Amino acid sequence: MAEDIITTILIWTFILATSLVPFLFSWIVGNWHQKKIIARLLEREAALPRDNLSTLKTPLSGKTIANSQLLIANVVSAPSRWQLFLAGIKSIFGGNIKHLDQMLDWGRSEALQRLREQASEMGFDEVINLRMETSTISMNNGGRQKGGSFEILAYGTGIKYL
Amino acid sequence: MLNGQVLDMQPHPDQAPQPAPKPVQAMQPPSPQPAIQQVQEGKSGQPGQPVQATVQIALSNIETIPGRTIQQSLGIATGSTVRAKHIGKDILAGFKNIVGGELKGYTELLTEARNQALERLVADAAARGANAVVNIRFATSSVAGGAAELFAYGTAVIVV
Repeated sequence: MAEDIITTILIWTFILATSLVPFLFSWIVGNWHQKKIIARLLEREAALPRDNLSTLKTPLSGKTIANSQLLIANVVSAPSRWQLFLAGIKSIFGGNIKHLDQMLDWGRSEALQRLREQASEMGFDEVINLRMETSTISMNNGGRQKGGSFEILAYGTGIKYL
Repeated sequence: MLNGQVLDMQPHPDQAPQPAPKPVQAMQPPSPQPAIQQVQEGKSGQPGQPVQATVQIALSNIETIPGRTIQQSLGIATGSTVRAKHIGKDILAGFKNIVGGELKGYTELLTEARNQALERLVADAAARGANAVVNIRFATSSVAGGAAELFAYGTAVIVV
């Protein structure tokens, strides 16, 4: 009888340790971490004087272009386990899954910000013909797909006026 | 508010006949280009031959190299690479995935892989005897087993 109780306790401990604890950890630490990186990104965005990205093929100012180069920036990011769990529940009922929006939005803004910083570091005045691309990255762990991580790629042509 | 904004965007009848300034004219005067002046004549058009490292190819994802004129198109230059994840990085990324946010190992991996795809594109273009690749596009697809294929393609041209 005592062995049965011990076995039950062990099984429940195992279930909690493998399922609930990572979720709670992910909820608390994930929220804190994501708020931190979003705040840091907003600071960096405010630090640059103007937005030097454009999707036009030719710059609006008709100045002479002296130099040009292809610029690439990317970021791989993933929502937290907690957000994926909430999204799984939400997807039963359908509708807007705002838990996944947060990290996707951050990843896209981060890739754009990296392109802006790269362009201003290399001395380019503007980046024209900006293109963005999103792709999922499969994380295959023991034959089980998990993660929901994605890559945001942003690229354009950096130009420098005479 | 919204209606006002839309009305502001309508061209004024007095201003409408004025033609827009042509950006092509702005690009006409040839200007000193230190990056492209170092271009040397590569081995012309023999695929399979090792590409000389001194060949510099101008890359852009617009239809032209600004300030240059395209003389000849030499077809499509492509470069691709398939990368699988590193198992240690994958485990670390799995831990990082609990809290969400950037997976730095994967960002670096994909940056390296994309640079390799671009190098292959440049080698392909050089083998065709081009000195520039215009209108470059990137494509990414995940293949089975946690591997990703990174593909870059563009038009190899000769610019003067």
